[in-house]
Amino acid sequence: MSLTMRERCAPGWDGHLMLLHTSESERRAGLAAWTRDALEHEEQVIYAERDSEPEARSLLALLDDHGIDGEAATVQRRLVRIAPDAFYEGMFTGMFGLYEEALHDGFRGVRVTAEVSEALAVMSDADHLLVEYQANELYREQRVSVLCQYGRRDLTPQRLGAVTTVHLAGIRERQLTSSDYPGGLSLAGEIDLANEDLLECALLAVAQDGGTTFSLDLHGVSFLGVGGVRVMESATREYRSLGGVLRVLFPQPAVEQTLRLLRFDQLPGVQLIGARR
Amino acid sequence: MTPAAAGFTHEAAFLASEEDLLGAVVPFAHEGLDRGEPVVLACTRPTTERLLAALEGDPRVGLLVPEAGRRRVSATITACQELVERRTVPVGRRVRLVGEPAFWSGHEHGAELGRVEAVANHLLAPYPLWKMCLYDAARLPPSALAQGALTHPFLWARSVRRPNPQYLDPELYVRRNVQAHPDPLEGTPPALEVRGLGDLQALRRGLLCVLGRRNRSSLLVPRCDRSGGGTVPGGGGTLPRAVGPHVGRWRGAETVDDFVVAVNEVATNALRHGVPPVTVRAWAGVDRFVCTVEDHGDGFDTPFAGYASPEAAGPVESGMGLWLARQLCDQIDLIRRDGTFTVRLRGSR
Repeated sequence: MSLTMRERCAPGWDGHLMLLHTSESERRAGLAAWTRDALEHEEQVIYAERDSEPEARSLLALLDDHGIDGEAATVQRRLVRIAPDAFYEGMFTGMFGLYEEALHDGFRGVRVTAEVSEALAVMSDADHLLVEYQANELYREQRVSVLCQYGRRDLTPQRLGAVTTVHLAGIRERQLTSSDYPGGLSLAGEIDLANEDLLECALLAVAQDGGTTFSLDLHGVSFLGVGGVRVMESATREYRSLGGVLRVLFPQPAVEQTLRLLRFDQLPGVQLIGARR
Repeated sequence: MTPAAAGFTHEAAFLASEEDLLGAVVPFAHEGLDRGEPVVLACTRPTTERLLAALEGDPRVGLLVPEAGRRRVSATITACQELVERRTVPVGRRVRLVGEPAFWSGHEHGAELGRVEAVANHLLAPYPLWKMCLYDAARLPPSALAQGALTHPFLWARSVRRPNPQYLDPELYVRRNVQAHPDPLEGTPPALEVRGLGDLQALRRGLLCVLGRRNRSSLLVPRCDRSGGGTVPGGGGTLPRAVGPHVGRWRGAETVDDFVVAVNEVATNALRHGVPPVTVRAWAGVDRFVCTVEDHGDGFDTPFAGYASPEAAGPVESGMGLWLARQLCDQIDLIRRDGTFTVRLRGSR
């Protein structure tokens, strides 16, 4: 089965994404934006939520707070709620015929979302990571978009590394987003003390990916502090020492200045390609 | 007497007239050129023009053209390190650099100039470099002249070079002058105050807001040609276009961005190494920005912190945040007082 999807542009809300939030208000803002985008593009949203979810935390209340009429969308079957255990049971097998039904009913696509903390109530960490890898296939083969909601505080450094690797081109964090770039990765946003660990995880994943050259497109990065540059050096050190080349592309003027002052461009295995003029 | 032939020699020439200027520099430059030593000028435009004329536009005389973001007085040490590193200097020979404090932005505050001159004696000691600093009595404020007199092991005056009896050990000098005086703006209500700092992104946005970021395209002074790093040969008495902007004051969005990057690094250090709560205050004066970052830790007591440039081709070491901040603003004071550690940043706008 293959869903007909609208033209996709990155970094939007399509694909297999990781909504990495540090607070409930961040989670709500991200989830509302993702849902609004889906509804605007006539896609069906299937979300995992327990019957017993407190009203205040429910998706409908959240949408209401953001001016979206979730009740009406539910009546029109644009929003479909599934209990978490059933959600994970049906996710890769057509969600009980819903994916096909949605297309038949004229929806242009399907998006699914769940809170990872809910998943971990019904499965182990290891099983959940397996689900994440399968979700990459789900998007690739059936074009079903997936938004995984992760609370940053629930993630150990090791687990942050594992889940970043699965969502390498789908990072949606308050200050940083990632998307595919030919031969590499594109980053956008601001990199500072708050998300250097995320950058480190992403670069380590990239470095393990193999390939003799890797492009890191920075044209959407408006701020990069010394800590971020330090991570860019240390996380790629082994990769570069084994002959890998990191091509840093199109940094904005202030970012390029920081990289050059710190002599990042003079590191072995680093090529800095200046801003497009 | 002539200073020892290896390593770093640092001398100040106190000038009262044009004769003093030519009398100091011309023999110094000729002697270097005769010995096959590189001679480089890092001087203001009028001084450079006078010297090039007196040296008859000798094409062997180079001009220091700092890259964007390296024009502040705190960038002097790095500029000197790179000047030597980028050249092959024969054994027993040295690079001869004629420097003028007024070449660098931020020299007029004095405090940072004095510290940089002092720290240079320590950090540049292994470098084959002979640096003659021109202290123009008619142009520099008395505070700058006083600092020059304490920070140079040799003096050149009345055609004689001699050891400087006033010279202070660099560490002692920096310890005595690390605090500097509060900026008068600090007596006024801050334009921005953040107590219990946690969100650096919000801090940066607040700073951009109160410091008044302008569009990059509205720079009042044309930007320096970024391709012209390092030195370019000077000759024929005409100056490369790129010398222009950093001779005088230069301003625009770039200076706001630089100041925000500097504050971000200092605030990052406070969050990473300091003791909370961290308080940030910022003031925007007519001609300058001031910002203080205060935490409740002991800070650190390393007088040369943040002056040594990063290793080429090496890992980005911890401590580079303060170094970058020093490159990107005019002056940074480290103040340990009553159980708090405060870093004060000042920048021209």
